[in-house]
Amino acid sequence: MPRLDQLPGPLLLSGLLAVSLVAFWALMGWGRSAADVSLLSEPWFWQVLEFSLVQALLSSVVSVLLAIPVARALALDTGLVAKAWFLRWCLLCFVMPSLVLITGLVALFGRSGYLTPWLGEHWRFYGLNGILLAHVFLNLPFAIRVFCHRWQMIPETAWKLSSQLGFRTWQTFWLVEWPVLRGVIPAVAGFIFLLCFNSFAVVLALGGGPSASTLEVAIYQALKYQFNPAEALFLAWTQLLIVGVLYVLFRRLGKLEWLSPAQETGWRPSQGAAITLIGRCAYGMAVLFLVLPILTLLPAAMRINLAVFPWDELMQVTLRSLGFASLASLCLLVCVVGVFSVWRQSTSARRRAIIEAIALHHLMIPGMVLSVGIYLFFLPYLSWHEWGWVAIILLNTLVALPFAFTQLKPAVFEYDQQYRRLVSDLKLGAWRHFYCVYVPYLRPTLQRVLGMSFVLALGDMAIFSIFGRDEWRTLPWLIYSLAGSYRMADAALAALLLMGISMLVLRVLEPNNASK
Amino acid sequence: MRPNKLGLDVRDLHIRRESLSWRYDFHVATGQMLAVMGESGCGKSTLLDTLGGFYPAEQGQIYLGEQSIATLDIRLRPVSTLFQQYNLFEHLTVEQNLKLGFCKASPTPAQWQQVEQALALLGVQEQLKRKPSVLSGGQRQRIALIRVMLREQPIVLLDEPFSALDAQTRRLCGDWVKHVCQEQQKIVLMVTHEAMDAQEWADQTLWVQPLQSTDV
Repeated sequence: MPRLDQLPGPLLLSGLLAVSLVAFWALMGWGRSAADVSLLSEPWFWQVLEFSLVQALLSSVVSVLLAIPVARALALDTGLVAKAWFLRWCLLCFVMPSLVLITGLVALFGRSGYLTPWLGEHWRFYGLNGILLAHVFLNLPFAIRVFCHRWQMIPETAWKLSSQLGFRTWQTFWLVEWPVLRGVIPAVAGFIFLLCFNSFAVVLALGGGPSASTLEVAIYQALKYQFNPAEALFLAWTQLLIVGVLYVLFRRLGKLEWLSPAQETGWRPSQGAAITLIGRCAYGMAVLFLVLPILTLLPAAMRINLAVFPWDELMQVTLRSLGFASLASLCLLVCVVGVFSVWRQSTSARRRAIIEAIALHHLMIPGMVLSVGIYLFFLPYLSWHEWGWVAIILLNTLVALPFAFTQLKPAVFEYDQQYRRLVSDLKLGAWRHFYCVYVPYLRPTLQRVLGMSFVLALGDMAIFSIFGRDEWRTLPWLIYSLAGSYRMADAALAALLLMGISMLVLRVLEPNNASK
Repeated sequence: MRPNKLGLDVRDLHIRRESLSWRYDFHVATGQMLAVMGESGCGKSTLLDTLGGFYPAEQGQIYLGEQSIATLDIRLRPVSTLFQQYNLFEHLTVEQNLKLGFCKASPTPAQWQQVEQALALLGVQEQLKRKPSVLSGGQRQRIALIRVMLREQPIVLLDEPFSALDAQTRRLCGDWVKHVCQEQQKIVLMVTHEAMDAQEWADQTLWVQPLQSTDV
């Protein structure tokens, strides 16, 4: 018979599964409305599907191709300046609230953007161009960090050996570098594809019409504007099916190191002048591309009319956003530590795989699908108008759980590998072990997880779009509505505030900073 | 057969690991040291793992005095072990690591005084506020040894405790281990590859060989 103190873990896992099952149950119709299969004969459905796939494919290919030369320069060029800063910036870009970026991109490339006059008469920002720019901005940094980490994992002796054997640059690349890269490229491309396929805020803001809309946005529009659950159900099922198949496929292609911090490296071979130049140019362009949209917010925000700016609303909205993000990230921390407590107790590989699948399965279920399912299921029983905030916090926790689990897993695994016997031998009590040894060991990773999940929840658009309401908007929605009413200067200022909060939180919770 | 009243009694202990098997019968009195010797891979560490509860025995008994400890959970076994590696938590200071060896991680003033004396004797008293990652292999080994020896556990298992030490420090540590063993009436089992270690400090030697019975 299980002991009472062993119950919370299994209960937590059951809860995680139950949320998904409830969402599925609702999506299966549950006696109210069946999925509208007639959409299969609608041309707009196929247009939306095609655009969802094409934009995701282009975004992932472009991000990966651009990331390779930049990551190589970062890993091998010892003369490159501000590398540590750039890698930290990359982390921020990956979790950056979409609305901050969108506001910056509009100020740069929009109808009256700073760069628009140089882009020719036929330039159209809204649609595929804008969506691609935004998706590459958000995902290129992720690819750069993963590839850079892979390059830095190549042992010093491999570089020394290739130099002593007189390898040319292409030989070194083919025999030393490519083997460590090739395992991760399909997984990175696949992961970016999934993120872009599930993209909501970017497409909502920069897309438009069936020719530039994704399934995620179509679900939102079907539910929020037309209140057509049958259509939303069909779209959600389509999305789930495609994402599920792709997720399983990409998982088989390889494993990710995610956003592991960059490591100091030992001896590295000097590069030829031409290769160094190409690497530095790629680095310079990446810096410009990733910094310019955010820097542009400064002059854009300077143009605000201080007298009419809604300061009170900004203050309220900011506090509300901070509250949601704090609660969601703290819930996530409790949740992920709980999941790992069960994971660590399980000695069989099969049980661990099941626990891992439960923790990661929300990666496969897009936030919009989960939100729609939960929304529909509880609609007859409770007023979302009143209780929507609870769903926003809990669902933000769930969608960030796979990130948190994958970030923490190597650290927990290493801890057990190294110290499991010592901990048993020392005969520390459960609480003393947890408080004095385990948590201090995980603290740097927990802090990174806390920071990332906070920023992700702070920038959430998808979940809020279903459960939120205009009377208590969050900061991203305030920016969206300001930009929607052509108050770009106001939107830029609010975006800068959101960006500032994100930077501050990541900076404070950054492991290197915290360990000082 | 009834176990001896004092000391560690290992009776007809059968251990199997993959294709190898061992049978042990030996007795170590309190205040005595047993050197465990044998070729690399012959099963010395497996014996310590079994005594510590990390590896199951097929059959047989382990007595401490009159109490059978063979089926006790790891956390309840009166054993303190020095492993070959990972004896210190890298993210905690030496002081925190040392304190973890005592009840509620809070040694009494008398216990802490013993720790401080040992630190001074073994030449690592300056390292108290540092983290293990900045220490040399020998310094780490001495600090781990201090915690293992001064914990309130009657059985001490040392797996190659002096492997990272130079000859002079090795002698210093060996003498100290012997002294603590006698003074606190501990039962010490020490895996070593050095015949000199056994000659210098051990009261008896156990030669480990697989696939046949191994007796003292």
